Amino acid sequence: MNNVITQNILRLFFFVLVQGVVLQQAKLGGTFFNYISLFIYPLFLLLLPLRISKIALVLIGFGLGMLVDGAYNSPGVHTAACLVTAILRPLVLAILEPREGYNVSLGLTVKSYGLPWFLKYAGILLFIHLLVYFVLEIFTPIYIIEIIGRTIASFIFSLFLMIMYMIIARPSV
Amino acid sequence: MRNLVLLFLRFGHFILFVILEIFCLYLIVNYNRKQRDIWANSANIFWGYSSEKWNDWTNYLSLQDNMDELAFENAKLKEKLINYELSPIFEKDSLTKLNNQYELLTARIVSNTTDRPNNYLTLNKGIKDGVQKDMGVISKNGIVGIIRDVRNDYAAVNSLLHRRTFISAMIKRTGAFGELRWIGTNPQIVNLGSIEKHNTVVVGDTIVTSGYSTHFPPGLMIGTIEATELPSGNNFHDIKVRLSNDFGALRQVEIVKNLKQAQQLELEQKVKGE
Repeated sequence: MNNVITQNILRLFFFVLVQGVVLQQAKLGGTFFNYISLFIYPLFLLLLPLRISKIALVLIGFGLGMLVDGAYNSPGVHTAACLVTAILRPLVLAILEPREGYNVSLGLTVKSYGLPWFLKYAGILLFIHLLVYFVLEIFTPIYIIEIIGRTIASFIFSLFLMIMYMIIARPSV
Repeated sequence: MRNLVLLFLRFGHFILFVILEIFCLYLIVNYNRKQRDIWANSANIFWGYSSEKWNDWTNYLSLQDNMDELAFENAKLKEKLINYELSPIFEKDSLTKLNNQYELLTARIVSNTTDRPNNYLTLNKGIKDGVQKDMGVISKNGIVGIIRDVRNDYAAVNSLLHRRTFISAMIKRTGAFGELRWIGTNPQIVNLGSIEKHNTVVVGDTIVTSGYSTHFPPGLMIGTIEATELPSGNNFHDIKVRLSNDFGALRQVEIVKNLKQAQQLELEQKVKGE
C-alpha cells in the first residue's frame, strides 16, 4: 500500500517536472510544432489506483491542474481540463470494464490489462482532456477548426508519448 | 438533513467538480491576458446586443405614444402653414402677429366603416377637448368628413362616404368649384357636381377644397379626376374623382377648428334672411 502512494507521489513530481520544464519548451522547430502541444501529465490521473474515491479524484485533479498551471502561468486552463478528466474517469472505467471485471490488486496499466484496453482508456480521456484544454486556451468559438485540429494533432503525439512511457518505465501500480 | 448528507455522499464529487470548474473559469477569465480580453470583448458584444434589443422592444412599446406626439407636432406645423398662407401679405414677415383662423387637433379613429350607404367614423376626442359639431376632419392624405355629433369623450363623424355629406371643392388648375358628394357605391370614387360646361375638365386634374365652406381651409387635397363626361343637353360636367385618402386604412386624423366659423355662418344667415 505504501508502495502505491510513494509511486504515485514520485510520478506526480516527475510528470509535472517533465511537463513544465521539457514539454512546455518542446517546440521542435517551425510553426508546425507550435501547433502541437505534448501532454504527459494526464497520465498521472489515469494511473491512480482503481479504488480511489471520486471526491479524492476530483481534488487530486484540481491539485495537479494547479501545479501544471503554475508552470504554464495559465491559471485555471489546465485545471479545468484536469477536473473534467477526473470526473469522467470512473465513467470511462465503467464503460471499458473487462468481462471478468477489474482486479483490485492490479494497477490500471498496460501490463495488467493489455495494450488495446489501455489505448482505449487513455485515448478517450486524453482526447476529452485536450479538447477541453484547447477550447479554454483558444477561447473563441469562431476558431473551432483550430480547436479541433490542434486537439487531434496533439492527441496523436501525446498518446504516443504516453505509450512510450508505459513501455519504457513499465509501471505496475 | 439526513437526505442532504445522503445527497452529498452520492453526488458530492459532482458538486465539488462543478464548484471547482466555476472557480477555474473565474481564474481563466481573470488571470489570463488573452482569455480576459476575449471574455471582456465578448461580454461587451453580448451586453451591447442585449441592451440594443431591449431598447428596440421598449421603443416598440412606446410607439403609440411617440406616434401621438408626432401627430400632434404635425398638426401644429400644418396649422401654422395653413394660417400663414391665409394671412395677408403685410403680416407675413412677423410670425408673432399671425391671425390664426384654424387650429388642428389630433385624434385617433376608434371605429370606422366604408361598406355602408352612409358611413360614420368615431374619434377619441370630444367636448372636453373642444370638439364641436360641424368641424372638418382631415388626414395626412386628404379630407375625411365632418363632425356630426359630439359627446364628452368621443365625436361621431359623417364620413365623406356619406350620401348627405356635401363638400365644396374646386379644380386646382382652373379654380372652377363645385360640390362633392358620394353616390354610395365605390369607397374610392366620389362625384363632383355643379361644374358648368364652359369649364375645361381634364382627366388627372387635382381636386382640392375650395375654402368656401366653413369646414375646411382652402387647398387641401381631395383627389384626382378619374373620368369625366358631358351628357348632351346637360349644363354640368359629370365628373368622377378618385379620392387620395384610403378610408379603409385611416388611423390618425386631425380635427380642424375654424375659429371664425360662427362669425361667417352668422353673417351668411343674416344675408340670406334679408
